[in-house]
Amino acid sequence: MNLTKLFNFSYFWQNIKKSKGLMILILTVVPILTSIMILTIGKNEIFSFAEVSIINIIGMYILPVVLSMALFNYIYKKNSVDFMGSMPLSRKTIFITNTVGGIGVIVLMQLLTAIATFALSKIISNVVIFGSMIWDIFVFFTVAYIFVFVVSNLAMSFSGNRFSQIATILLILFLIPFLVVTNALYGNVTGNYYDYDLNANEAEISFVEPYNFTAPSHFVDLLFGADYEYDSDVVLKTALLSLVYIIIGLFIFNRKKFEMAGESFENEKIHLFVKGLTLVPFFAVFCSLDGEDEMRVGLFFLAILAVYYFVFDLITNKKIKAGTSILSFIASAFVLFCFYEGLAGKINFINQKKILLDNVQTVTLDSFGNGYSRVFDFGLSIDDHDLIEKILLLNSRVYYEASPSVIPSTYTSVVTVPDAMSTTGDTPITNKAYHGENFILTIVLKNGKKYTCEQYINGNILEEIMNYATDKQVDKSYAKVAVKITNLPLTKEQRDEIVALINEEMNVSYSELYNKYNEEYTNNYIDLYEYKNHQLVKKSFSTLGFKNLCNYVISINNQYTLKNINMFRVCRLLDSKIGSVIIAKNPEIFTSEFENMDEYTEKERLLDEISWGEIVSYDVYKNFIKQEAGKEFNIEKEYITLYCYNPATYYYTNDIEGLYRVVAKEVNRTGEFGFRLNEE
Amino acid sequence: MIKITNLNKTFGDKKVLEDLNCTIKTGSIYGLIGANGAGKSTLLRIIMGIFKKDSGTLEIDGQEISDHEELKQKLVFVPDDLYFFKNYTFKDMINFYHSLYKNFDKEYAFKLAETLHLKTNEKVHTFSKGMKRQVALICAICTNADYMFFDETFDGVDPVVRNFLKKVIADQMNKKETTIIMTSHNLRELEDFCDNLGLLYKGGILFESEIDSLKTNMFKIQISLDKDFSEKDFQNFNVLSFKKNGSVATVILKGDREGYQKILEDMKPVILDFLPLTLEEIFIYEMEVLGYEFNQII
Repeated sequence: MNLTKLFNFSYFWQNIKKSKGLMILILTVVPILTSIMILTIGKNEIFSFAEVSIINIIGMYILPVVLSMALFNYIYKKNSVDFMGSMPLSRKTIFITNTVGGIGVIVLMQLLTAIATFALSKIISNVVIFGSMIWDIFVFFTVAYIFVFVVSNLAMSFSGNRFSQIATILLILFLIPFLVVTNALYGNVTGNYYDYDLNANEAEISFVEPYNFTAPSHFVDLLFGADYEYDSDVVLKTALLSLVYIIIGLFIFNRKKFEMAGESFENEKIHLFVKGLTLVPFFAVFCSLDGEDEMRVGLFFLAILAVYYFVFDLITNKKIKAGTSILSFIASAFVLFCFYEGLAGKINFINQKKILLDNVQTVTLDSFGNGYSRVFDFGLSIDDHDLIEKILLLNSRVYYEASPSVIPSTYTSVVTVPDAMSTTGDTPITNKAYHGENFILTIVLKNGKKYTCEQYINGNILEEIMNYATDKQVDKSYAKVAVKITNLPLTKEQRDEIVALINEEMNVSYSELYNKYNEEYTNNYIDLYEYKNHQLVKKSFSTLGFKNLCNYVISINNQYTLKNINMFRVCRLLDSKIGSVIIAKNPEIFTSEFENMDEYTEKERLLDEISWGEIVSYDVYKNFIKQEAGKEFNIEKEYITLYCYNPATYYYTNDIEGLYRVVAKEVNRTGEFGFRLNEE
Repeated sequence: MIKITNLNKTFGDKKVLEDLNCTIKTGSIYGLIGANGAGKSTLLRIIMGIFKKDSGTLEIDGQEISDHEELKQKLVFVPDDLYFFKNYTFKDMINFYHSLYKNFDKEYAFKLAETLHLKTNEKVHTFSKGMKRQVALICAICTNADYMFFDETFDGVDPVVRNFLKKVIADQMNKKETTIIMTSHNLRELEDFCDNLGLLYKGGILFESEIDSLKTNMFKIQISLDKDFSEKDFQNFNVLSFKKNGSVATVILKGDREGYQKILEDMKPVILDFLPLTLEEIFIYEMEVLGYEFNQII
């Protein structure tokens, strides 16, 4: 088949020209709305794949369908069929021209979106969108849009009007994913499931394969709360399936009976079959309902079916066909559903892999971003055979059960504790073995194969891992990184400076980093973002671990607070505690501690009392902050933190005495607590 | 030449064309008549490749008709229900045809538009029904296709423009040996323009003939003899109809006119007038011979 000969540019140009308004809309709506969205919500934002793609995701289900209908719009009316069918164009040429041309329009549209996104990320300093992510979005949505477009073309080849085409598109896109998911929900087979065999030298890991459908069917996953992200397998599969659908579409279009223009389908049998298929999801939902009053639900369901039977005909055929076919319709749908149920019962979604410990090269731990375990986000790779054995085998008392309501990547862990001990309830568990955390393990085999699973690592093994990591330096091998501090807008220069300080100061081992963590009273977490292996990876750590970095971030905080001081409607002490950094005791450990308030001095008592409520007007604090303008902050001296809102920010000051005097004066004036300032 | 053999087409359970056989000579103007639903438009759509045939063969210039672009360059079709792209001007339509038909004569199209006072910069959907048909016919004629198919061609076109367009089509035929196939359910419209006629009935060609031979082979006389006479006196003639009113009989005869005239003159008639037959009358009598009532067919 000579494709260049089958692509008729004159025809395509005329086809575009006749719907030029619509074509301009299709080409520009996503780039324009995406740009507006980025500009509107883009302040201090590091955009994830899903966030940049919101408009693209919505557009994916509309624009390719509209494009297909616009390019093939002649098929819906008899007079336009006569007109176009009589032109010196073969059906092959019409189909190939519109398909290739439509793909060209989609590529152009996605290119415009990518260029607009890239330009905004470069022009606006507080909008951070990784270039590699923009490329992934371009590839993913180009393939996804093309897929929906070719599915629309395939549906067009089958059907004779727009409504039946839409019904067919929905069936092709969603029927199988929807049934698999509802079936999985029905059988509670969701998420990944792991079971470690206690055999001497092998770990048997059972995976539930992720529901690796086509790009547009990710919508089903979204309904269940999963993230929308790039998946190269999905992209490849979607692209290949697109090719298959183009070939099938061409085959059917060549044989299409154009005399059915305006009718739903070529004949009543196909109409009934499609109608039956559209009913299958209803059966699937009905079967997965876990209601007590089955009879009432069943009757209600049948009533819905009866209405649907007529509504479908009314929409697709503009006429109602009553009669005995309603029985054959329900019977055929039921047969189809039973067939599906029978088939689904045979499908085992669990894919078991046996991994021999000797074949494991490395194990990498990724945290869920909470607690001390964040230290592992910096890429601790474990290659010690004994430790790997402990992680994979000795930890094996722990099982995971996926939450049935969440698909596919959020999990609820259930820790099985021996000797009737429980992780919940009133009895405190003192055994370190049960003070662990959830991790995502990446197991890399010597042959390069990679497996990812979720695991609970108990406290004993965590300790061993930290011992192992004592002399392992934190991995800073990121190519391109973006910095974010919650609620604090950063300029490009500030970001660059922070990255430079991290590179300069973060020359520590994993154990040191672990020890530096003290999350209780630190408000200066830095989130480092990296787009790696098609995923936006977030690494969080406290700046208190690093003197210069901490000072710099606090100075940004203070500048920001001063700049916005007139906007705040809340301003108070964060708490009464006075922080100081322990550095003299152990130069290796740079962390903070807070004064012991057990024995209050008068100053401490007052600060403690007023920190509990809005005893002192926020204007008092605001005036104090204004007076502070230009003063340097030093983390190595005692400090106290003020909290301001809105926008939320923190102000750090070393002038504790000054603050005390200001608030004491105010309290003295109002007579709160019967307080009288000594000086008076 | 178009040769159709045992052509069949079904829509659902309904047979639209059944074992249709037909031959249309190159350079002829073939009129296809038949009642509504007889299959005229379906036949044209199958020839154009818009509809797929169920069975049978359909050849143009010895080449089996398929979804063939080179062959389709030789064909142009003006359907009964016209279609134009929304918001397209006449000029846009001319450009559209020009972009697809290799031999499209753009200059001629603008010239014809000017002659017919059609504004090429106006949107076609604002035109009247007759004007739209003029647009479609001009576009079709200017393709310089070898075979032109017109379905209910002059529907809505006023007589002056109709005659002008007929002349243009005739000129086209003279310029290039174009074959025209026209359908109508109105015999009078085809009578003065076509040289061949085919009557389509229940999916098959019931009757086809050259109009000239039809007209020369069949004629009507009014005759009166100097004696009492009846149909028996015309046993030597092929009589299609005999009606006597008083002493004058009106007789429709089929056969060699000159030979018949000599024999009739030998009968020493008091009155002998040869009267012209309309095509409709010819068809009525031909159908009666075949055992059909013409009024039920058309």
